Amino acid sequence: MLICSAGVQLSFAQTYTISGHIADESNGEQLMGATVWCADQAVGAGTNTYGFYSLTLEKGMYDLVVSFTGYAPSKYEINLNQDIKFDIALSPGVAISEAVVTGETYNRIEDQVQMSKMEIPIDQIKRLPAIGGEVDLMKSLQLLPGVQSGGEGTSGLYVRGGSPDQNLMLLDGVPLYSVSHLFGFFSVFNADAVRNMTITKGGYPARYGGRLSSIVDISMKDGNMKSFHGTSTVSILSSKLTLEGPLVKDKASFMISGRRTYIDLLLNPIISSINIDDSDVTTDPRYFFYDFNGKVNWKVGSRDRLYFSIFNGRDDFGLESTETFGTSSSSIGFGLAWTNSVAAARWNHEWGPRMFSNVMLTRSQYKFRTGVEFSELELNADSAGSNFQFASIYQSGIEDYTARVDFDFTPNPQHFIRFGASTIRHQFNPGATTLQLDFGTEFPPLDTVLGSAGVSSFESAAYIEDEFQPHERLKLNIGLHGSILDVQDKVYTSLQPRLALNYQLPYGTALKASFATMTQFVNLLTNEGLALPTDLWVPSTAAITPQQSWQVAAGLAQSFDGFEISLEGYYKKMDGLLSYREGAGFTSGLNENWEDQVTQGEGNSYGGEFLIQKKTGRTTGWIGYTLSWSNRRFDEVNSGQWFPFTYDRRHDASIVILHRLSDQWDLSATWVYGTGRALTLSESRFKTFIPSNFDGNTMDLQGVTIEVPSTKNGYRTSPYHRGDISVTKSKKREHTERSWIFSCYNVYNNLNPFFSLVDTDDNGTRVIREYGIFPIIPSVAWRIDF
Amino acid sequence: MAYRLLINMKNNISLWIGLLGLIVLSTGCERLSRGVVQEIEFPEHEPRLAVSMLCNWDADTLVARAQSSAGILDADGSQKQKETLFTLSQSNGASYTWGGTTDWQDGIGHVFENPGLEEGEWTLTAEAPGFESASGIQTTPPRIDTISGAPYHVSFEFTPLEPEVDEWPEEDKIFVRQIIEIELTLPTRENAQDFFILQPTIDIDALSTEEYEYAAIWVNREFDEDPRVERLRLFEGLLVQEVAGSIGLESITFELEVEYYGQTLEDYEALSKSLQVVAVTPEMAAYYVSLGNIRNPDGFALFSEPLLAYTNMSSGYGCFGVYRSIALPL
Repeated sequence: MLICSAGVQLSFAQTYTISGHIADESNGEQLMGATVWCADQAVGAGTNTYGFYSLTLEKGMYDLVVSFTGYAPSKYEINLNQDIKFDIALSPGVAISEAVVTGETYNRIEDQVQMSKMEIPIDQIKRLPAIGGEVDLMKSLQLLPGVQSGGEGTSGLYVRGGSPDQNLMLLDGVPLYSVSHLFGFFSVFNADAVRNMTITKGGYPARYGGRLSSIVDISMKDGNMKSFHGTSTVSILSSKLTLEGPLVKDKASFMISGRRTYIDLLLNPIISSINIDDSDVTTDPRYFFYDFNGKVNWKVGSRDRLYFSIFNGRDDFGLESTETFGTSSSSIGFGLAWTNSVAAARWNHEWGPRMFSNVMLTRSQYKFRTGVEFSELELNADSAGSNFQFASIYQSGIEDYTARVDFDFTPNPQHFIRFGASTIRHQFNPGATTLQLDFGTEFPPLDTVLGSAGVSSFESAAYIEDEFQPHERLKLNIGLHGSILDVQDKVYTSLQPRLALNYQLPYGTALKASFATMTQFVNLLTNEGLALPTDLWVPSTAAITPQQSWQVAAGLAQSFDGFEISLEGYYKKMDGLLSYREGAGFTSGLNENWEDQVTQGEGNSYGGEFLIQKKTGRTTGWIGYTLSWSNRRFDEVNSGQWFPFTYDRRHDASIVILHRLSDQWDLSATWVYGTGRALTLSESRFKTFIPSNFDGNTMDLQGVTIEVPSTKNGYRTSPYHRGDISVTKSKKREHTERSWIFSCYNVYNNLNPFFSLVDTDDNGTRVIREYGIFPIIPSVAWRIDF
Repeated sequence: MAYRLLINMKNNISLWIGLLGLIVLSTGCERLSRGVVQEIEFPEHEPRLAVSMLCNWDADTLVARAQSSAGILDADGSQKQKETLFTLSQSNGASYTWGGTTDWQDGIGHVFENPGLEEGEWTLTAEAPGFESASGIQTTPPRIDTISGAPYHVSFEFTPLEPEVDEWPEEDKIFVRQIIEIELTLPTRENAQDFFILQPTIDIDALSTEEYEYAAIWVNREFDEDPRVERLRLFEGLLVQEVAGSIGLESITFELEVEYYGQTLEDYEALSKSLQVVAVTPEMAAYYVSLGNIRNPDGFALFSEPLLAYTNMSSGYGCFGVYRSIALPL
């Protein structure tokens, strides 16, 4: 219907279209979010993820301004008397001189219909302070209002009261299921391999679906089309190397990037020296993570482009110990490993100046495995047969195959229509334990699998959205997202309307509002206390209904003198949330079906967010503040009463300042504050009297005293606050730029609680102990760009 | 000298940054000696009424208990509140009050004699000096019957297998082990949740203490996997409830195992054995399950969701629960 109405408008005027790609002049990277602005008509167009734009105007002469944050704007005089294909290259690096064409751009915050969407330029992220000098994209997002961290140093995201599984993490359009390295202290995203990152917290356009709380869209670099370049960084935790360059100049390029920790290499000599003291015992711990990004893109013709991208990341943690007594030897091994891998093939095609399509075939896999192996071997040949071996290996995972097609259609300046469809085959392995027992020759060996059976499902979706301007002061984005899940002979369907509006108030202020409903067919089973790689991805099933939400948001936005200011309020209602029942968890569910361990419930979150951000100039950064509430209710938790979500954080504030002192020196500092986490601790006791038998004698009661929490999440840890600083000294040479990056995490060494326990002090008095894990941590890293 | 240094610093950014870094680092490092653990005092606990009234609606006496909740550091702990007044009331105006020191019986609680209350929804309110009143609501379950055709009846089939007898001639005793196969069909209602506790009992009072006799009965662990049935952790027994997708509460099957150590097989056979079928309210079932989980948790606490005691009392502690039972002789 949207397409038809747009087509009717089209037929009344003779119009032509100017279209093409906007790219970085220096490396040929496509620029997403760049704008083409026609001041005469006060209309414009923005580039999509692939740098494509399309602007349809009536026949005539126009002055067009092309701009993008951090790039020199360009002006072009166009005689639009036919459809024109016009590729544009912008020069980077003018952010310092604040060359902003105020009033002649289209991508100002007050012009965009989309609200609740934020972006931190990768260049800024790389200059932020980081633990161990390891820049982390997820931790950068945690500095934005409405986005909170799960705990000290962890990279999980809690967006507007949602849980981490409610974030759709897209890497080149492919969902990633686990984004953590080192038990969550680092994310899998290597900043050197990333071109662009945005987060959308509400007002979701119809093209997105499948998660309730946010869309984090990360695009890998395409690879330099002009010349060969690289970046290498050496920090105290890891090293990484990124290489990119043309395969065929201006036609095809590649980018590869790898990162590996060397914690194991540092630890092994220490452990070996301990082993020297006792030659009968050898202990070999191991921990490392690595990740690899690779991408190739190829301009097949003037209208077609192919992309192939892969990502692989792995964490491996374990310990093996062997002890020899006389003629026997015993060994015990423990291991915990998780792997993410993603592959995507994409085909861009321009069907004409007004229609652009992208077809995508992807695979995403997450695997987790942990286990214990024990063996006792008799080395004396006469005693052969008394060997004993035991192994318990727990595995879980999820594997997706996706086919997706998206179309962008711009029939006229008033309408920008997007539509598409996708289908995903999910294969879940929601936890199975393999038990192996071999007693030697006396008994037959045991080899069995316990736990949940695998589940496969098909998730399909289709959407259409139209961004249009029915009035000179009003812009709308109306859309509909429909999804369907076929699982265990049960079919769930969902129609999700989306609406976003932008109404121009006097003095250049925009009033924005949005409404979005979302449905989610996958769930992450996690304990609130600790988020671990053991967390289990499980599907909606015949017994477990999908998660659903609706969110309404409203706010004001304005930009002036290089600053962007936004103020937003939101209310989000969630249903079908999944939680472990009281007392249940990963360890209790090893041998049981996960569906017996869970309960479903509802949640809400509401609050206000304020952000003032400066993206250009010598000094950039932002100040953010969030006031929020987030609550949950499950029939089988807290006696069915509402309780605060563990990440219900009343106040959350962040200050980020990046200052370029000179061409050689950069300084950055961040400070964050957050209300303490809500925890459940046993802090009360009572005596109750219950019948011990039911034979009718109600006088025979049994007294039971129990220590219990009075309410769920009724206790708050100490508030979280931390300051970090970073200084970068760079030196440019003819073909290289070398930088020393000095960082200090938690500069004033505040003890921020990572977890809390009820314990006993030296005097035998019960106390609550708050354990921090990161004191002040200075670090240094060295980077070379060539 | 100082002036020269200042002039140098004015022209040298790295010196300034170095100085700033030193100041900040020294501030933070000075606190490193305190470690990464800090002890927090428990928040002050405001005592509330913990009410326990779990009663057989058909009994001659109803017993209620009120205790104070206590902070974990409170040396006195949870204290009985003898002055508590209890009121059972209905929306139709029926109201019965008992309690205070006059109705208090040591070792038992506040006893309500010969209540003879009607069925329906009842509100229990407890009021004690110095506490906010606490209240909870219960709807009585129907009376269970064994007569076929009765509206809320249980049908059953017990199949005792041949007892295995081991003779211990040197001690002049026998050891008996017997399996009893059980099949039950429990009643269900439309628009109501039906919960049952099944508790096997054996009359150990009839055993001779002088002869060191022993007898026990329990639910055999080898009963079929049935999502409607779960083992109670608070005492030997099962909790049965309707589950979405299953066919009511028909054909609940399991095994009971009986052990006896005593004089003769006749003595064993003379022992009274029964299966208590107890219709409980959903709230009472939830209370028993949560207390059982707290006393016998599984998994590691750090990796499990915290356990809370279920409550349907407004004070947040205790339970008002109602049941009706019938004993089925085995």
